Formats: sequence, structure tokens, C-alpha cells
Amino acid sequence: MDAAALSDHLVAEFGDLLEPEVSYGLLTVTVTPDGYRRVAEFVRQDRDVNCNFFEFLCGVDEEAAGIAVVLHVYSISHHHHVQVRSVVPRDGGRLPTVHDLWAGANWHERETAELFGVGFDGHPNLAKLLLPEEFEGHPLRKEFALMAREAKPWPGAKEPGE
Amino acid sequence: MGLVDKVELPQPIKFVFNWGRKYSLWVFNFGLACCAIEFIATSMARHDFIRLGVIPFAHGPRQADLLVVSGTLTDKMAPAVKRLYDEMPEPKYVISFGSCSNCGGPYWDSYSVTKGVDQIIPIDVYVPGCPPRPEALLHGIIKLQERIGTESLKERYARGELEPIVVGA
Amino acid sequence: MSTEQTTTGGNGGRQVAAPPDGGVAFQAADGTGVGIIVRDRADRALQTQDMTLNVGPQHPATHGVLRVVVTLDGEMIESAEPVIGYMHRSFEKLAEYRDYRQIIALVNRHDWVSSICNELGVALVVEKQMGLEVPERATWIRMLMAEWTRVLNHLMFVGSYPLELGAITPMFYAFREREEIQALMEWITGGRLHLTYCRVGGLKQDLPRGALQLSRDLVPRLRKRVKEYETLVLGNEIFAARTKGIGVLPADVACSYGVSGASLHASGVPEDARKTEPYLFYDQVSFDVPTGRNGDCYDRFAVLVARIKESLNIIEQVHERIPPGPVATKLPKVVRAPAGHAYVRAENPLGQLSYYMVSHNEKTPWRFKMRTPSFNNVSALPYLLKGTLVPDMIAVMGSVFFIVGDIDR
Repeated sequence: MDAAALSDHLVAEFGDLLEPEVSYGLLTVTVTPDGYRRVAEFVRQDRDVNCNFFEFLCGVDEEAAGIAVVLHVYSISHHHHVQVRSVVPRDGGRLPTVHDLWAGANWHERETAELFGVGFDGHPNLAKLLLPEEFEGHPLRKEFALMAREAKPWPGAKEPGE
Repeated sequence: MGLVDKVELPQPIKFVFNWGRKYSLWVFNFGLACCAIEFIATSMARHDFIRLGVIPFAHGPRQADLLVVSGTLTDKMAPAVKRLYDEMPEPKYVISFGSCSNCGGPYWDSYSVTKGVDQIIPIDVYVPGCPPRPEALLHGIIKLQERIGTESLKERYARGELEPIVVGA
Repeated sequence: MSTEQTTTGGNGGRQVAAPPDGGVAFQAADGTGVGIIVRDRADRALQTQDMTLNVGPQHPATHGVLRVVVTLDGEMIESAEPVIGYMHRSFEKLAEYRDYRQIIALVNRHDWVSSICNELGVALVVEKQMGLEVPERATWIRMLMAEWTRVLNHLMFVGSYPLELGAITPMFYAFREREEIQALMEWITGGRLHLTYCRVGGLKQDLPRGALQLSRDLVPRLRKRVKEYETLVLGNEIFAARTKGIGVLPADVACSYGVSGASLHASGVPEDARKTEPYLFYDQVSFDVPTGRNGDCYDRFAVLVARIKESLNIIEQVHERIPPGPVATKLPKVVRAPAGHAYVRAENPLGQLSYYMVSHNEKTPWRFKMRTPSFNNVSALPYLLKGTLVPDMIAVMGSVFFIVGDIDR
């Protein structure tokens, strides 16, 4: 199914619960944290959507709005992609885990939890994955400044982008 | 160690000892990142470093003379490097291969990268490049061998305990 | 020892639920491991305890700094947990501080044996978001370089996988081939390993005179040598005995983990981004996607060797198709991608590489997510290693074909 048909199919099932958006040929549906699990299950189990290939799960820092968690899955049989996006509050944001639907989500959720500080309910082991254990802070948040850039000015002749 | 660390050897014997040491360096494979690929390429048939006397595939740090740190050192890996360096018996030499191990390299502003392996262990030769060509590593090895050739073991051991380097302090 | 006792002899453990095949199980006092009481031939109780073994982070067979903590019952692995992060260089955070064009020099270092394919993804995603048209000549040359890089990457693993199993010769042969291809890469781009040849909007410079002829001459030499690998390695009975039937990955488990590339194809799923969502001009060349049947280590390696042959086919077809013309579009002085998010999927030699970029119309990207193939491939290791023997662990870990920089980014 192409993105527009997929969008209609999902809206027909969930109505106002999700907001679809098609950008550069990719469908992204934004749901509230409460509806996230239901939409993920549907995307995995419905015959016409059947997204069985797990691509990634990441966070995007949306500053005042919160932290957006983006789950991107693909269907091998139908050759379409779906992104399920859910915005959680910056402090104490939690989402249900999807690692029982896609086993690959296990590590991706651990990585998002340590880099952004988002909790995942039902995850068996949210220990740090990439960072050393004594690391403090959530590095990919926008307020986490890179100390090397603060301590020493950029050594190149021009700022990035000039 | 017997007399070697207490007595300054006469020049002919020192020449022979150093000649033996510099042309039989067992190198400990400590490939971390991309520079490890160029290190492996240097050990392979085209840019062979065995002909210079550097023997790859030491069985462990305890049987190695030379440590070539090739690749980015992260804060998580730093204690392992220190431990492996300490396990090597004296006299030992370290070549820092590549700009990541020299000074942090392209990741100079990263939160998880140690800016240079010389913050943790003392280095004898720095080979710059990203990644350096195999010929650069051969050049670095030759420079190291020149230094070993004129080295006095008594002075080396008389330096005593090397000052500990504290990471992050 | 009677089964009514509640402590083990010595380590003061406590009795836990009985194992399914009979016997009594005790857990040691410090919580580590579970000891099973087995009975020997004279029906005396022998007490065993699981051992936790740490493989890595520095180990000759783990391709870099990957650490695996295995719990062993004798020689059998009960559970294996990879510990990663020893090469975490925070590419995603660094990309937020660099201009769209500077990211290319950064990003060809995460999968450090396939630099062009990484850069290609970045160039494609920025061009998609900015709506840039890339000249045809640049696209064909990008394809040529991407396929040579694919051959380079596969040769690396064709050399190092038999080395882990004890065969030293293929390593030298593979690096002999790699040196010849790297000489071609150096002729065209000036670099051996990190090429930084793709630019947003095209390429850095045109092909130098003689490069195309060098490439044409190299293909038949490589074809002959790939045949050598097949007879030397795949036909070797020791190699076959060590890899057939080991580390079987079923197709549905592979998809659930997001395993891609040669490992997925060996499990029977021919999912290749070059075929299903063709980028560049892959829909204008003909090639096959080799798949395996059993999903074991032998199939994964056989698929890898077959992929080299397919890449050589593509390279030969591309040689005839490169048109004359410019190789780069003119970029504005300040490159800004419009606000929004874009996603590009590319077939890296190791598997499926996707870039997801969110832009807030600034000079640097807002969020740059790299979905790397090795991260998902290695997350399937706990499934693959459960129930294997220790020597097979090396065979399985090597057959997953990962690069540690790709896992940790």
C-alpha cells in the first residue's frame, strides 16, 4: 500500500486517536502515549499492514513540547513503512514497551532511555547500553552541552554553516 | 633483570642488545577502530612489517613488547587500556596510531571520547593521519627502532616509577 | 546427598525450582549461577555450577571492542549478553553541531570499511529534503563507487571469518584484493579508507583519466579470485563441518530483530533496498539477490561470496552507462534544509542503513538518527548463542558480520 492508502486505513481504524502526516513519501502517525500501544499492536498484527520488520525506535527532542519517541517499522510482505510517533513530557515521560512485538526494540528502547531519559514500562532490563555506568545526564537532550565546545572555541576558521 | 638495569653497558654490548631488541618487537594487536584496518593492511603482504622485525599476533599483553593503539579511545574502554598496558612487561613501547588516539581526532567534542590515549598511558611515537597510510606506520616503526637502538636500559629503569596519570581529574 | 536438604555443600545456597529433566537445582548464596545436582554412573551426586565467562572487550576474535558475557554450563552456553558501548563516539550528537556538508566527513567512519555507502545515505537524505537534482553522471559514478565499496567490505569479512576459524591463508588473499581495489579508490578519490567523495549535490570531483579503464581491468581479475575463495574456503570440509547447522536464524525471528543484509538473505528473505525501493539507478541494472536456505553460518558466508559476484556484475553494467556531464550541482553558500523530517533507506554492505533527519530550518540538523545494520544484527546474538558450544560461539559471532563502530556509532 502506498502512504496515502495506508494513512486512510489507519484513520479508518483509529479515527481521531492518531494524526497522520505524509512527508517525502513516508507516513508518520502521531498518537498520545495512551494510544501508542494499541496502534503499535495494530500495525504489527493487522493483515493489511503487517509490519513485521523492525527498523528503529529513537527519540527526538522537541524542546518545550516534550520528547517525541519515533517507532519506525516496515512490512516485508507489503513493502511499506510506518512511523508511529508519540510525544512524552520531558520529566518522567513513560511509554509502554513494544519489545514483545518486535524483539529488536529491546536494545533500541534501552538506548533511547539512556540518551533521552524516557522510561519504558514493561521492559525487562533498562540498564545503560552505550554509555559507561557512571555517566550522568541524558546526552542527546538539547540542554546537555558538549563540554569540549564550551571550554574551547571551535578551532576551524569558520563556524559550521558559514 | 640482573646487571642490565644497574650498570651502563659498554658500547659494543649495548649495540648488540639493542639491535636484538629493536628487531624483534612483538606487537600486541590493540585495534580499536578504523585505524586497525590500516594496521592489519600494514601487516599483510603488501606493506609487510614483519620484514622490519615487528611480529604481529602476540598471544597476549604479557608476551608483547609493543602496543600500537589504533583507533578511538572512549571513556568506557579507558580502564581496559590501562590494565592491558600494565600487564605488559618492561621494556615496553607504545605507538599511538591515528589522530583519534593522538588527540581525540574528529571526535574532539564528543562526550564519550578520551581526547588522546596519552592521557592514560605514556606514548613513544605519535603517527598522525585519519587513517595514516601504512607507509606512515612503517615510518613510525623505523623511528621507534632508531630510538631503541641508542637507548640505555639503565637510564630507562632509573627513571623509576612513572607518574600516574589521572583520567578526568 | 539426599534431596531433602536445603543447602548445598559449601556455598550455602538455597533450593530453587527443579529442572525439567529431573534432579535438584540450587542457587548459590551470592545469587550467581544455578547449580544442578546430576548423578554420575555410580549414582553419586555431582554438583555443577554455571560459570560466567567474559569474552572481550579486547579479544582477537571479536572484530573490535565487543564484549560478550556468557554463562556456561560446561561447554554449553546458557545465556550470552553482549555489552556494547566501547566505541560509542556519539555521532548523533556531533552531527547536530556540524553543517549538513560536514556531516559527510564524520559519517563515513561509523562502518569503517564501507565509507562511500555511508556518505551516500547522508547525501541522499539531505538532497531529498532540499529537493536537489543530482546530475546523471554523478549518480552513475556514485553507483560504481558504492559497488566497489561493497566488494571491499565483503572481502574484509571473507578474509577475517576463516581467520577466526583457524584458516590463515584467506586473510592474505583477501587483503591482496583489497589493496588492488584501494589503489583504484586512491586513484579516483585520493583516500584509501575514508574517502569523503560524495558531496551534497553530487561528487567531489570527476573521475580522473584512466580510472574507468583501471576499473574495467580489475573486474575479471577479481572474478577469477572469487572463484578461488569458493573452492578454497566453501569447499573445505573443515569449514563446512564448523559452520553447517550452526547458528540457525529463522526468518521470522530475523525480521523481528531487524536483522538485515547477508544474515537476513541467508535466512531466506530476499529483502534488499536496491530491489524493493531502488535508489540511485539500481532499477536500471540487472542483478540477483542471493539467498540461502537454512540460515546457518555456512549460508551467511556463501551469501557473502555470492554478493561479491553480483556487485561485480553491477560494476560491469555501470561501466557502459556513465554519460558525460557535470558531477555536482551548485550549492548555495549557506545550506539549509527546510523544516521537516526525511528518511532514506540504503543497502549498506552489512545490511540496511537508514538515516532519519529532522530539520528546523537551521544550518545544522536538529536530529540525525542513524539506524545502523550492525546494531540490530548484534542484538540478535543472545538468541543465536543460546545453546551453542564455546567453539561455535566464535563461528556464530563472526558470521553475523558486524563492525563495532556501526553498533555503537
